[in-house]
Amino acid sequence: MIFLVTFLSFLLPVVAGTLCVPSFLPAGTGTIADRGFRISLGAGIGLGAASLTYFFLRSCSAGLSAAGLFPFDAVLFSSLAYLAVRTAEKRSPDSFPEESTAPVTVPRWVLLTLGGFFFVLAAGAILTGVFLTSDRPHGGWDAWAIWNLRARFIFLGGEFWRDAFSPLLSEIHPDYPLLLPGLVARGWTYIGRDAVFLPAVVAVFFTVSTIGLLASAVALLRGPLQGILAGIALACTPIFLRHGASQYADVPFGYYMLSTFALLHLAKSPENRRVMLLAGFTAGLGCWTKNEGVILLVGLAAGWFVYSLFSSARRQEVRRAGWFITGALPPLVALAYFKLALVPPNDMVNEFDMAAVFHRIADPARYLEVAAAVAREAIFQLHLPLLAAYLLFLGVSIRKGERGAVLRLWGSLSLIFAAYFFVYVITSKPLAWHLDTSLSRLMTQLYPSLLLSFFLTATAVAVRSEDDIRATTAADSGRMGKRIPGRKKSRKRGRTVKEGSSMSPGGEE
Amino acid sequence: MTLYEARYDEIRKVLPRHGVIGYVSDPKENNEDRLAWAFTQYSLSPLIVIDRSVNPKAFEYPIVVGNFHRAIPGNDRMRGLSFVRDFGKGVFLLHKVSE
Repeated sequence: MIFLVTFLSFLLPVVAGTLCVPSFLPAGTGTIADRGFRISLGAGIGLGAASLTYFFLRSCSAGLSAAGLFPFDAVLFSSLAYLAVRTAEKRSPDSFPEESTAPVTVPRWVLLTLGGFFFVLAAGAILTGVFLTSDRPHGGWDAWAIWNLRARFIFLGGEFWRDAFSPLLSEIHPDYPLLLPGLVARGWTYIGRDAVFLPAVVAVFFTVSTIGLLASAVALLRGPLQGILAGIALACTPIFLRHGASQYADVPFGYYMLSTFALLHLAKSPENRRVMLLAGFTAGLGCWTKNEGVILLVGLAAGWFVYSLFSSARRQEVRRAGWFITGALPPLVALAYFKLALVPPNDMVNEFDMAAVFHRIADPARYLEVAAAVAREAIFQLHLPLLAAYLLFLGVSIRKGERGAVLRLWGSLSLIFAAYFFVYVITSKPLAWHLDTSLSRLMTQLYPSLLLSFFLTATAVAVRSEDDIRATTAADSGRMGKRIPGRKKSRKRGRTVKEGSSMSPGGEE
Repeated sequence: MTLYEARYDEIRKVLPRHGVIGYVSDPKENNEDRLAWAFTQYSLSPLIVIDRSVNPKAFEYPIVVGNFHRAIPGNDRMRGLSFVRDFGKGVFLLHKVSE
């Protein structure tokens, strides 16, 4: 019974999110990647919205029970889903990224084999989560000492739920945002007790959703094989799975960061205002998940500003930014209320001593220590040399119409990374301890978005159908010296590619 | 964690349902002090548990939970406290003595 109630408590926002998302996106292509993208994006957006509404209700009502919560959730999410479906029906299909073509091709059986392998790995990610949870049901230190502890305060505290943000609890960071504790407390409210398994379910959910979102987003933007490879790369990263199962907020934050970047890449064309709204909402949910969300917003804003300086369509860029900010408003308003009215200042802000900070900035040994730790993490945990080898083998090939967007994506990601790096340089905490306890988690936040950027940059490998193979063989063996209609020889590598299928969401910029 | 929560099952019944209480423990090695406090804070939430050895504000609160694994500590930690009840497994309810 308890599992059924848990399932139903998640089902409502997940289904509503999945039904709402298509009305914000270009009309679908109906492929597995397209559906996977909508489901994995909609599920996270639905849960983020559920966390927000729970916080809203908790702020308004002292005693919140399942009997009070369910009717509100049912009316809200059903109405949203209904409106979204009606809106989606009325809309004419937009251009949506289709499968790409590339100078490098592989036979279809490679795609099928890797696709099977990917689904086995996705199932493995769930099993890994289950095994790691059975080993540590309460998750890692930060999970029970910060995130789940705050969920307990919110759920068990009754009218005193705000005790979770008492300055007396400064050791457990009462200023950390509430997406995860809110979701867990919401689930506990539904089932009526603080069951240990619920935070673990949320953790596994975000881990698997991140893998699904990355694979489907890359498949939509760069073709199915790239999507599968991206999904495999993430699902084969033990540190990602471990942090996912640890019940920390880093994987959910990485999920919202990835959602934002993927949606921004989809929203290149000027008419994609709704995608910008949705991207703003996911970025806002990132801010509602972790304080690093502010760095994400600053990174995006800086990337946008530099891009706008050189863009001929500056007015259009300002309008797009307006839609983005509008989408981000609901989570940001909740965050502003939380930060301004409920919690004490952040401990790192409290410990800020300008003279000491300048002293640390001027110390080259700190840069070296941080750089060495980052390099170790990148090589031994994230296996970046493998990605470098992939890039060396296939080369760089950004689509003509996407160069600006991909460069902006890299720019924003680099700025976020630089900000993380700099936080370590100036931290007042012992540097070795700070790196040891948090660097791996911060890298895990960035990794899904890094993989997205990587696969948008690397040369895509296309899948050859049987017809393609036969046509190529005929063309080669016959030495006819004339082109098969609809095909051309790639001068670059001499392999066969389709003509006129260059994909760009919304065309050239 | 589950074992730690069970350790506090009995004392939880006599503690207030919310508010702030003090916390005292015997000295432990490495980071075990903080771990023991964090376990206690989790187990007794939504009560706010303040460690007297870390936060001087803890001395203001009359109800104090004692969490002793090896021995009852000396006066440096037990200053101004009197025993109220022993709940077994090293868990004690203590009270601030009015000065």
